[in-house]
Amino acid sequence: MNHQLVIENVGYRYHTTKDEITAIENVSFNVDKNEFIAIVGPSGCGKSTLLSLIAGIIKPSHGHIKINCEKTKGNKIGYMFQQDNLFEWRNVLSNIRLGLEITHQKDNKLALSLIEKYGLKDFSRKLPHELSGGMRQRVALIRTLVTNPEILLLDEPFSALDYQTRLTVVQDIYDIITKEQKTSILVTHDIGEAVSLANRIIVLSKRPSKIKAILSTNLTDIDSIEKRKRTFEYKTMVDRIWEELQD
Amino acid sequence: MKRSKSKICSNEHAKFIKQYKSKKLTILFCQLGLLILFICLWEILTQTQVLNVLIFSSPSRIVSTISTLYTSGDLFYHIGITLSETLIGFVLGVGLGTIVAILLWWNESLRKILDPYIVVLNSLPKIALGPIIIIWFGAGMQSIIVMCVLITIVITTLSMLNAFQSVSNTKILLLQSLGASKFTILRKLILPSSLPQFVSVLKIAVGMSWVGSIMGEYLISSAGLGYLIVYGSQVFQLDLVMSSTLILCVLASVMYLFVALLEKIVHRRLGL
Repeated sequence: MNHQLVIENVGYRYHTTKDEITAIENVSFNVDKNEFIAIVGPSGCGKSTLLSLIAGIIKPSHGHIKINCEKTKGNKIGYMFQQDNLFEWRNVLSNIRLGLEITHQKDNKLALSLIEKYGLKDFSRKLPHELSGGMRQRVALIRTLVTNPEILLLDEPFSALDYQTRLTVVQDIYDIITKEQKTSILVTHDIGEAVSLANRIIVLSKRPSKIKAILSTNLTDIDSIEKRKRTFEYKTMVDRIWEELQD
Repeated sequence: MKRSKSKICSNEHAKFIKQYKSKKLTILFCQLGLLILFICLWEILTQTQVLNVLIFSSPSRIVSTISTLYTSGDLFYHIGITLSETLIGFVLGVGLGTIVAILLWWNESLRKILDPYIVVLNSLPKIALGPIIIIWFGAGMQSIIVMCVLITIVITTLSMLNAFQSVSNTKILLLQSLGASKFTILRKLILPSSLPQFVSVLKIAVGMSWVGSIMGEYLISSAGLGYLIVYGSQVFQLDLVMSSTLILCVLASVMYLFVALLEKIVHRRLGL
């Protein structure tokens, strides 16, 4: 079977004047189409570096990363960060069009249809400071989706939100991702979030980062994320990941 | 009558609004009162010869000097000279300073190479370069403009470079993940997000360019407000010195107000 994303024996080293630091060592895993993968690990273990490698922003020191059997290129990847990173001087529509402008696409149809589909039509001319935290995050996701990426990289996209907003935004963003049928890789320090959202969870060790475990869940059959959190499997999986991280 | 935009919710709120407006009015009244008191006191003290009018001039003599300058056609001639030197110096200084900042942001090696030179140029009192500038550019308007540019360019470069470097790294990463080139990052992110700082730099540069042009005119000039001040002090015509200083004050304030208005518009547009 052809995997959508293949990460094979990938390592990444960077250099300071004093030292050579190995951030990631021999990481290998595959991701299939429409899968939702979560990557968890101790802070500073290189989770975000791994996403930058997948996005092609930095090159691996060894190994290779392929999307649909080809080397990674920016336009196949959509990247969503901890902060929404909306440009304050651009209105909602203009922020969403950002990726299209960079790839020289003039067609607004997809942008407008996504804005309408996800309830932002009345806000398309508003500036980011006029939106709520949840709305801003939704705009950030639509900005990512509008370039039609094959894989979504989510770098702790909910961690900057307050608890109450987070509860609704996580479900909101998850629904959009599943509706758009996007393969997603989520990096998070929140084990509960990883278990409740992902089909598979990759547990990384501390630096130099290696894969400690790859765990699968069956929770994605349940629609509501809050309901998933009330299941026995959820609790067992959280405990198991916690133990893996403690070792 | 202009209606207040604020919605009054309760008596307490109405009281608060009333107090706020009355405080604002009191401050304005005190500001104007202080100025009027100063002018009146100055006039009375010179009229009663408590202060020597030859040394301190007087408001009435200043008005009469400005009126004489106006009727002789000299007023707008001298204002025009200083204003054009200041504006040319301001535009060139800010423009070149921003271009240099862009180049330094673009090329890290260039930034590191030029760093000590910029530090030295920033700490150097620019007036020390006056004689060299006069020899190189001649004893004319060019030298005054160069002086003006020198004073504004360094501060613009340093402030704009600082603004460019403080742009969020994740925003740059976002554009990189979308496949943006360095030029696109500059155009779509760095320059627009530095707009508020650019307007703040304009505010500083306005004052700096006035310093540059007047300093230049002190050194070499045959016209302009700086020239009138130097000439007035040389022939002991304090009326001319005070009048020119007053005109300078008004012009600098008007230019500053324009930039402050621009800042307000930018801030309102960005919701800052």
